[in-house]
Amino acid sequence: MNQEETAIDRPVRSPVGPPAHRPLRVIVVGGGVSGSACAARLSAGGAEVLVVSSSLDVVGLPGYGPEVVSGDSDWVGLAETFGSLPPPLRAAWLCNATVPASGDAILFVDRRAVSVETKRALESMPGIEFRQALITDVRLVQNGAEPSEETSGKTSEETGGKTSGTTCGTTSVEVESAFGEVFVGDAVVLAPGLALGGEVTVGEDRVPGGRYGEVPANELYSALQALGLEFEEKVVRVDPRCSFRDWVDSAAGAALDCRQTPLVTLEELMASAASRDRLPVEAQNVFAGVDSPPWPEEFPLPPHRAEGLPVSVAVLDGQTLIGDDRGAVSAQGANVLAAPDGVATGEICLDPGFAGAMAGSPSTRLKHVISGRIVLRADSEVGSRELAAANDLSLLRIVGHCAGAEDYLESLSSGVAAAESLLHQFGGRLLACEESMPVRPPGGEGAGNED
Amino acid sequence: MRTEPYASFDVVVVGAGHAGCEASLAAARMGCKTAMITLNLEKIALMPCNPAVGGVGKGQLTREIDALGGEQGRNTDRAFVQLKMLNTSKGPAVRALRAQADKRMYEDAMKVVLSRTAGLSLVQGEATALDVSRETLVGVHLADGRTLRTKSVVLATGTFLRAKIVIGDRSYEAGRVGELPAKRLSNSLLELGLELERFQSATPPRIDGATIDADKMVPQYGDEQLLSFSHWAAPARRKQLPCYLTHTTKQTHDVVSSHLHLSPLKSGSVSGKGPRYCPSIDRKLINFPEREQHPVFVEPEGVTTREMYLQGLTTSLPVFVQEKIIRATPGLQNARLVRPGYAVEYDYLPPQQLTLGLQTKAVQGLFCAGQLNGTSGYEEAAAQGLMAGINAARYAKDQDPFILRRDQAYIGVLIDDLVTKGVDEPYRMFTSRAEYRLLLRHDNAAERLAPLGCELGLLDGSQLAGVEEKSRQVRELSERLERAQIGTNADNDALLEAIGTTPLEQSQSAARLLRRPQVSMEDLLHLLSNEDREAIEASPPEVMEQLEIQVRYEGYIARQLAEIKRHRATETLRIPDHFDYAPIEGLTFEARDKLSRLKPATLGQASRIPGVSPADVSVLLVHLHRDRALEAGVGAPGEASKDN
Repeated sequence: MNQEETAIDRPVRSPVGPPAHRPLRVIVVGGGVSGSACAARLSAGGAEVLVVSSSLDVVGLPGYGPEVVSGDSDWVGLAETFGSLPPPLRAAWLCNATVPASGDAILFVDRRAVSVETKRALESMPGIEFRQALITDVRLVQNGAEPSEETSGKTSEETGGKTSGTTCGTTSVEVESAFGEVFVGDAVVLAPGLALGGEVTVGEDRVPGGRYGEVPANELYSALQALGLEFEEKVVRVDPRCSFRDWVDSAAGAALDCRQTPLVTLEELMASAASRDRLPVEAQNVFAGVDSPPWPEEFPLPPHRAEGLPVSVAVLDGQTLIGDDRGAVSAQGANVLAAPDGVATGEICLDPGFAGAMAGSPSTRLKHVISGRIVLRADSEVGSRELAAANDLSLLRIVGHCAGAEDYLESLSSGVAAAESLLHQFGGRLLACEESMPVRPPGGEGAGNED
Repeated sequence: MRTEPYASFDVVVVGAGHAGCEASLAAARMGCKTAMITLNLEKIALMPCNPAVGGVGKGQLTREIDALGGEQGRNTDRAFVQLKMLNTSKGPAVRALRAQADKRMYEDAMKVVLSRTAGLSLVQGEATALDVSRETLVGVHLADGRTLRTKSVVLATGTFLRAKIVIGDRSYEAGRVGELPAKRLSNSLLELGLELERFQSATPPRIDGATIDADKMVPQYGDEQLLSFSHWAAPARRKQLPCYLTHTTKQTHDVVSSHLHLSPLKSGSVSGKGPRYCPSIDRKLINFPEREQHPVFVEPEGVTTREMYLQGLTTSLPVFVQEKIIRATPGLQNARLVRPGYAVEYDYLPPQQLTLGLQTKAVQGLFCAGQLNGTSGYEEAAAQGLMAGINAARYAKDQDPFILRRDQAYIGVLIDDLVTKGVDEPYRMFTSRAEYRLLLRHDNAAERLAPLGCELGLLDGSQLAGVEEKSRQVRELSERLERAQIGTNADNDALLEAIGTTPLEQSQSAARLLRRPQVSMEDLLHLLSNEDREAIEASPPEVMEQLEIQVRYEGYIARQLAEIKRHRATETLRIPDHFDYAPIEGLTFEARDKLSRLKPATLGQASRIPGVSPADVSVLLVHLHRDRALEAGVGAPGEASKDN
């Protein structure tokens, strides 16, 4: 093989020499709420992260409703979780959130805005890379028996570019995609939401998927079972939505008798001394320093920045419902009846009780039920599972919905917790320097093939 | 589950891509109660392939869509990160705008428009069957049990019908990567007697823009000049992102060649036919083995992401080969793959089953648009979506279909080509497909089509007034140039010689002088009187552009207009709906068979059906004239020519 070919085949190999330290490499499978949080925290801790998602167009999308509320409905819970997020990701959420002016501890996020800004935030953080792939398998690989690829003289194609990503004598983790890509890391965090054996029931229909319209991760589910993991079923209800305009036009909307609550942005809330002082000091500290990342110069602002977040109010005065077309909210304490789903969408999220109440117009989205598999007894912790070390499953973490998280806050927290535990676990270990995240062809493809 | 008591709709659109969005907006804006059904409300107006709009041929379509009151041009203006006029050094017929857009912002901007359009409901769900009674459409069944009653339906399902995505020898069922396909609607269409066939399309890999070596590539910048796709809003200054040009090398080609056996093209894991005009790198090497390099444009996917698109490296070779291909290409040696390229295979509806109004011949009230009809490209999709939406609305209101002729618009060429000739590969628009391309220009789209858009109710009077004002200015200035005499004097002679043309022997009109290829409008301004020069310089750039084209190419334009006039009699001669070709002597067997099956609406359309020869057309012409004469003889109005 001549020099030229080597350069093509192994473009990112470091110079020959004694292994240097290299960062922990983690593969995060799933780019939703918990996966994003985990990736951000790992990056902040100095790790290299590969975020693998079946669709990079919805990275960071809060997939359910717009409400973010802590289990205790208090500001401390919100502050703790958002305070634990690295600042870019924290801003992606908090700059796209409004709160009731009354000071109730609930955030309403513009889901699409959070998604767009989360992708931007993660791309801006060091060491985070993305890959679009549907993961079908997870394997633990013992390194050490084989000589290192570098000395064996094999070409990259034969091994598919896969080289031992870790020091001899240790275990690494491989994940494989539906298209035969193999990614190798020191550890894997699984954040598949409800996609493992997921099914969505909408009305009379039942389709596969962890979210409506998306492909499920059934092969990955089988692979995890083969690793000895046990699962149980989890069922989640997703609230229906209708268009704000239809809601206003609807007699059903107008007939409601409930309290209206104006929304303000967090910045507005913090700007007023009176409302700021009502918040616990922990919350004040977290919310004070959140700056919206700059939007690219001279480029038109996206809807969520150009127009501001929904601020209008549904005024229920007898039979009259007043509002503008940017959304409305009417809340009874934390019992939200109708919450704006974002500037661009023009949808509002309704309590299930109102499904079908929009006579004359179909709901934009019917209420639906998602059932997926989550790791057994996941509810014993806050949505993050460290798996048994005895089985070498200590290199695996499961986070988010799949680990029993019940809401966005728990998903975020679980991602952060898994990242911190991995950073801790690998903290003292010397990791030999090697090439960056390798990929190799399907297992059978070049193995033992000498040409 | 009970069927929810929804009010009925006038138009239901299935699909929320580029065709579905235009169809929905057009129908709703024409006052129809409209619903748009999509499998995933998070993915409206997605650009699953190139984040670009326009280009030669396609850009004209987008301008025409805009001139008729469609949304694609306006939405591109909201989201572009680079905009340039192509072919400025070439003839006006091939000049066209091309934009790179921020993919996410394109979606969001469209979503804002859709959600605020009165009379339009967005519905998430899967359309599984059409409810047809007596060959007439009456409703759409959703998988969740709902039925939407409707007078008409536009199908704009893109690549989703029974779709699978493929890389190498692996595949899974998906309409786009990660998204469930629509597996059930195809059966309903087949049961209605419609035919479906398979096509495939593919998209290139995306890479991380932070890992490219821009120094090894040639940056391609947008135009400094303020431009816009839309006729209806003034362009604004915007910072633009560059694209980068590189080329494949022998190394790239060696990688492809040595792995060609793994290509779905060779392994047979894709059965549908792919687009000839947007070939994969595998296909290029097979078809052009002598070429030592192919261009690769590295294009930003927006300001909200670092991902970049590799135009020219479309492939569905295995992922590890894709990485090698990328890294063997200068400037991309260290590029990191973010999204592997892949192929998608899907059902399409051979478009000869449609009328020129894009309605299926088999089912009244059923219209089809976009990739479903065997096309490729966002512009082709949007153009059909607009027309299908307009015609579904007109059908719902019991009005005649709105049809654009080939001499009126690229949209007319597109639809006539589709329904007359059919497709044997995904259809893409080129200027060469239009006979009268000097008339179907980028710059005069509004003059051609805005009056029609206004009549349809898609534009308002003030928009039309603006277009008419521009035409008036162009007319006035071109008359001025005809009147203005350029004299023979030393200064003028020197100027003309300096730009490489002969001095004047006697004075002549400025218009005539402008027809010399060496003389630019700028040169002419130096020769004009102060008054004439100021009048022209005071006009807006779009008036200047059109003035120059109109005057310079007047002879050619007049010739094309005369040709259209000459052909129009034959072109528009209506063939009655139930015309019986069987008894006509002199038709070839093939022509008779195809004419009977395809039922062309006009003689012009008949003449373009592959297998129908000029001799067949002459035979038909005689028959149609004779029938007409007979009817005229008995004094009855032509029953047969009442409608098509």
